[in-house]
Amino acid sequence: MEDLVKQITSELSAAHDVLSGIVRHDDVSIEAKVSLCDFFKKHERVSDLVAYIEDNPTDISDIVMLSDTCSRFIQFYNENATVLSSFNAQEDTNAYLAPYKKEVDVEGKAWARLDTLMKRISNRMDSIMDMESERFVMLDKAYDRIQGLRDLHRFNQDKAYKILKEKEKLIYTFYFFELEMLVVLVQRLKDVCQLLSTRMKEGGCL
Amino acid sequence: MSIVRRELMEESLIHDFIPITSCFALHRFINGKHFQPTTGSQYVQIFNLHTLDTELKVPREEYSRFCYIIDYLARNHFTLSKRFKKKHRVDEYEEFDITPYRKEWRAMMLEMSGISLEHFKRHYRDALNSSSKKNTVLREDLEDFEKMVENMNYAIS
Repeated sequence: MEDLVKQITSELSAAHDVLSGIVRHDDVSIEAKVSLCDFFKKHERVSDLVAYIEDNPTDISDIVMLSDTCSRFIQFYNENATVLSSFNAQEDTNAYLAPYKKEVDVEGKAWARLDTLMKRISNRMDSIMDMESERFVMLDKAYDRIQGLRDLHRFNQDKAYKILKEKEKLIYTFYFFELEMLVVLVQRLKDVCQLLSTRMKEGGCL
Repeated sequence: MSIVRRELMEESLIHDFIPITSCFALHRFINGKHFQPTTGSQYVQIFNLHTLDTELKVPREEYSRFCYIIDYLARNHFTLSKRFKKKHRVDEYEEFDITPYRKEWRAMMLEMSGISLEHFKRHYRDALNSSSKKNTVLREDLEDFEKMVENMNYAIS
C-alpha cells in the first residue's frame, strides 16, 4: 500500500496543476475538474490521516512536505481568487451532460415521429378492403420499413439513455461541489500536519 | 472545563464533528435565515468549534428554529473519529456511547449563540410541531440539505 502522506501530497500537487490550468484559461477537461472533487471526497475525513500516521511509521519530512504543498495551494488560491471564482461545477456538469441529453432527445423524437407515421399508415391500411391491391401492398412494405427504422431509433435511444445515466453517475457528486470546500479541506490538512510535526518534534504522543 | 469538553476540544484539532460537506450543504439552504449570514468556510469553523470566540447572532424570533437546527445536526450529523472511538472503547465489542459528546457539542453551540439550555429544552421541538410558514420552510430546507448531502456522498468516480 502506498504511503498515505505521500499519496495526498502527490494528489494535491495534481490538484494544484488543475487550478493553474484554470487560471491560465487553458482548456481544462471536465475529468480534471472532477478529480478536484474526488480528492475532496477521498480525504475529507482528516482524522483518517492522523490515524494512519499513528499506525504507520511516517517520516516527519513527508509530513512537512505535505504541509508545504498545502501552503502553496492555499497561497495560489488566494492570489487567484478572482479568476477562480468563475469555477462553477453546476454549469460544467450541465455543459458536459448536454450532448448526451441531446442524443437521447433526438433519438426519442425520431422514434416518436416514426411511431406516429406507422399509426397513420396502419389506419390507411385498415380502410383498404382489398389486401391484394397494389396500394395495400405498397403501404404494407412502407409500414415494415418504417417499423424497422423506428425500432432502430428506439434501440439507439435506450443506448443513449444508458450512456447518459452512466455519465451522470460518474459526475453526480461534482454537481454540488464548490472550490471553497477543497480550500477548507486543504487548510485543515495543513493545520493537522503542523500539529503532528510539532508533536513529533517534541517527541510526544500524537 | 469538563473532561468531555476538554476531549471535544482536543478532538476538534484533528476531526470535523460536522463534515465539511454537511456544513456547505447547510450553508446553501439556510444561510442568513436563522442567524447572521456568513460564508461556507465559516460554517465549518463554527460547527467544528474552531472559533469559540465567534458570537453567533441569532435574532430572538429565530431562537426556537436555531435550537431545532442544532439538535437536528447533533442527532443526525455529529460524528467522532474512528480513532477517538477506538481510544475510548473499554471493550472491543462494546458500543461507544457518543451521547455525552453530542450533548456537550450542542451546549457549546448554544453558548456561542447566547441561548440558555433551559430555553433549548423548552423550545427545541417547536419548529417540528408547529405548522407556521417559517417552520415549514425550515423543515423543507433541511430536507433539501439532506438530499444534497446524500448526493455528495452518492458516488466517488
